Amino acid sequence: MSDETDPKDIEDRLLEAALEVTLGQQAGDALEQRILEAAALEQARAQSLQKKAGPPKKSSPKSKRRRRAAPEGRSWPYLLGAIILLAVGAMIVSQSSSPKPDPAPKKVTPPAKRPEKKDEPEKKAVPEKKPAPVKKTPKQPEPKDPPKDDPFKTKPIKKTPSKTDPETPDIDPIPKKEQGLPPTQGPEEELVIMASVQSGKRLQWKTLGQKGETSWQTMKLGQNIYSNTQLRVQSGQATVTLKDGTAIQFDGQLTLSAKDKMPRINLEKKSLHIENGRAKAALPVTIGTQQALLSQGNFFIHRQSKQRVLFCCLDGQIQSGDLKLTPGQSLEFRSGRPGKKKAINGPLLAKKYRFFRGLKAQVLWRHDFAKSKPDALTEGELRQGKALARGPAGSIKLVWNPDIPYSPGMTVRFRARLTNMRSFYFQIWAPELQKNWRRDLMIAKKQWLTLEFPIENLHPFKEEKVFIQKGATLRNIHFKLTDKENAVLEIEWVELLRRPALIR
Amino acid sequence: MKSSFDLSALVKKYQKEIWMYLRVLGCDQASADDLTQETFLEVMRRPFDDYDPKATGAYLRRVAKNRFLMGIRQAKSRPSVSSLDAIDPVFEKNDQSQLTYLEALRGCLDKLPDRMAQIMTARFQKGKKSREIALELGLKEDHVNTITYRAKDKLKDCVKTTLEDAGGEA
Repeated sequence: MSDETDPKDIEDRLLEAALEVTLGQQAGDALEQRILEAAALEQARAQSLQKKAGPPKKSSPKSKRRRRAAPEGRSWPYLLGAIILLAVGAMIVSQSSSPKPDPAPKKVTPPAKRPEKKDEPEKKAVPEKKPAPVKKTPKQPEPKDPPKDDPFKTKPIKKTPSKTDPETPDIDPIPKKEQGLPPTQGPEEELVIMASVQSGKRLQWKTLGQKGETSWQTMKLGQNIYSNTQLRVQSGQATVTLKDGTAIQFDGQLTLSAKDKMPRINLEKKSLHIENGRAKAALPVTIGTQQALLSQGNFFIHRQSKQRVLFCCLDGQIQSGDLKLTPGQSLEFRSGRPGKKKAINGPLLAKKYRFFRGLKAQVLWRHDFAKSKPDALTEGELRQGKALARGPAGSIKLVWNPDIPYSPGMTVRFRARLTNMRSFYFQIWAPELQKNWRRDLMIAKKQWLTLEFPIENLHPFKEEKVFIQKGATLRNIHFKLTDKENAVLEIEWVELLRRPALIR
Repeated sequence: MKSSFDLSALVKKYQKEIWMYLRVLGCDQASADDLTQETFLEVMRRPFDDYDPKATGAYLRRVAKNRFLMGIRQAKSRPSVSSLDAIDPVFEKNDQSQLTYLEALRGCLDKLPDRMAQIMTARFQKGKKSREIALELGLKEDHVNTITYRAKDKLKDCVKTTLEDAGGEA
């Protein structure tokens, strides 16, 4: 909590905790309700298990002991597991014994050395006859071309390289299931172009589909991504843009898929930031067992472990079951149980998650004077793609329509040059508050500089302790020179941004 | 389950104390929430008779501590407090009093001078940092820190006296 307390001092810790409870309303009714809900849930589960197990039977002490060792109602999974293990063991034994006949065909047919590995499944079918494998071997030297006419032949051919080929040691369980499906006519997956890569030097991809998965390949900038593609970032962060304009920035691993041509995301590792302010439909995201719908906004999701998932709603709305997160709220799920909704503290999050620091700013509004119409400025003049103000008391004023609502984390950024003077001031008009919110600036002379500062630091003239509050709207900006006749202020462009790491 | 075991009453009565105990052990706020919940669920699985509040409090603290240590072991980390055993006597001493620590603290907060109370409220109720409080009140950050330090000292002394007067040692 507070940084000036010695952590070893127990009394200090106790006082701080007590203050958090008394003043900070910690461990209040919400926690009480949460505990009682969890207790009720657990009791209901226990009752349903008892019902499934049936009424308790009278039994001898011996049977009681047995029940303790393997609880009733749970013994069948153990039995099933044991049977599966036995079956797998038997298969392994049979396969390990199968290489024995290998040397025999080798001796008989010395030139057929390469296809030996692919022989194994065929040999199982006809182990005794020597000429049979010799005849079959020339037919199968093309491992990359799976036969399309007979779906059942694909199984042994695909399985053998996974066991014998050292280059492909691990194949995930999902593609194995899909391998078992008969191939369909035409494209096997829904070939929807999902997204394209915007940034990320070390982004890799592989496809998950009915043909099985491919190996990891490096992705190039601008490359199209199809549905059922797994993406992973080896270092740093990568940005991918979906067709509807949704920007996805991540530093771990995720899968992009589609259902009815609508994108879906499955976050497998680390963190994810989604910006879908312009998308019409909500974006479904799955993280382990947790599912959420992200509607029109800015969201940060962090998967700390298989059990812990953090959702931060920076803007828009997150819905997970009955729970809804509004802008500025965060919620952590632990083992599927939701924690308490908390207010987001951007600087604190940026401190905790390195990913957060690397998040790109969202441009809310931008005006480039090189592209602006001649009557764009209310005050000041346009010359050679720049807005100009000449002293004394010269100014540049730009009005936008409609008003832009102020939200925490908003900053203003512009490129300016000041000649014959070192100071000017910037102000922004909030119509509801009937005040100009300003900041005095001092910059080096005759140098093009890009300046950026948070709007929350602006204050009315001579009221330095009053700051703009959430809910206000912003209408226009004003760059103003103070008295000096030959001073010139030039502005190239100006933009309003939102930086998630600054949200308080 | 035994009929005398009432979980909701137990939660109402002890959750704040358990939460505080976990915070003193070194949990952050979210972990303290989680472990408080786990403590009461653990107790629910093995119900008992609440015949003595001191014994119940001590038992709940023991369960909470075991849960906390299990978590630490799983995370392969170390507790931030060097001697965990020194914490229990502090709570046991407070148990001797007729008043709870929180009741005593509430009384002491009312006695704080206005400026101190204002700063403590801003810090603990609104979660503001020294810098923000300083800006708001037109003070220097160091000054805010000094007032906070003195307020805490005052509160500690006041709580100690109140608990002693109420029949126990703080």
